[in-house]
Amino acid sequence: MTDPNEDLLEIKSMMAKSTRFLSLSGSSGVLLGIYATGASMLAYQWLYPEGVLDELSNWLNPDEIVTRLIILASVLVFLSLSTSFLLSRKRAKKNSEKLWTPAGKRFLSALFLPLLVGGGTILAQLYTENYTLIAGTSLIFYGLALLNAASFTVRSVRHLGMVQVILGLIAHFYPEFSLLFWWVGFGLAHIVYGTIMYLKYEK
Amino acid sequence: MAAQYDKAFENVIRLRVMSILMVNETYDFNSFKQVMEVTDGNLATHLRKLEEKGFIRVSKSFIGRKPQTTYQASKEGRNAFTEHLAFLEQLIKDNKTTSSKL
Repeated sequence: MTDPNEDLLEIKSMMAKSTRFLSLSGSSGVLLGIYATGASMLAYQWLYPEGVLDELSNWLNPDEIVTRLIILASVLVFLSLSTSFLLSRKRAKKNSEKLWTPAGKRFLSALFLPLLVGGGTILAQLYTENYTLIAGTSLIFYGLALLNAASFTVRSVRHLGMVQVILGLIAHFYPEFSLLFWWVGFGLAHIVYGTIMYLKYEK
Repeated sequence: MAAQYDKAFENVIRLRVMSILMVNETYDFNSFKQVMEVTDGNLATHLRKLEEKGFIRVSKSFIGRKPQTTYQASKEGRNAFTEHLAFLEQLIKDNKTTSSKL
């Protein structure tokens, strides 16, 4: 007969491995936060050239700024997705695990469903020119996506999700400061959370 | 529920297969292979043993033109595994109390 302790560990590890996506890397969280910080700084310069946070009327040419922001957001999404993918793949390799497991698929579909609905909502806001709501909306849907996906990955992802949802709600009440809230959520919160994860699981 | 050591789960691959099927509704052959890192032949042998015991159910289907075999834990399999688990836990508890008495 085998050692019961070893058997129990084996059972636990198989249950976790087969249901959870464990290749998320803390360093990709930090990088995403840094990208978002850079993007926030650029957007701030475009939106508030005079350096005043509450005077949106200073826009020189709204149409041009909106186009620039859309391009910036697209670049940011592309950079963030490819960074997370590459670093997760690297981590999976390091732990000699596979990336494309049933758990990984479930994690991705749980994550992307709210994100796609959020993307559609943002397109509608662009179309109806409700620009000041976009930052808050992206925070809320990203937060909901994380909360939804948390049961298929490291549980603590739900804390990050809650932070994003709360910031998104506040941003809807104070749309004039929504860029600030957006930076706190996508920039600061990612850097803090990514650092904690890195120190906890990857060091 | 009786706590009972089940020889069917003595082998680590069969133990792993049942652990996975306890928390996943269904699981397919290739995914087992990925998560457990075993060879086809080895995995197939142990899956057949579990099937013969009536602990798992097998269904074959096609995704496009690729055949896919999926597995599911039967009620008997779930019960047997739960009893086996209870036995392991009892064993650990007993060991602890004996060693603390010493």
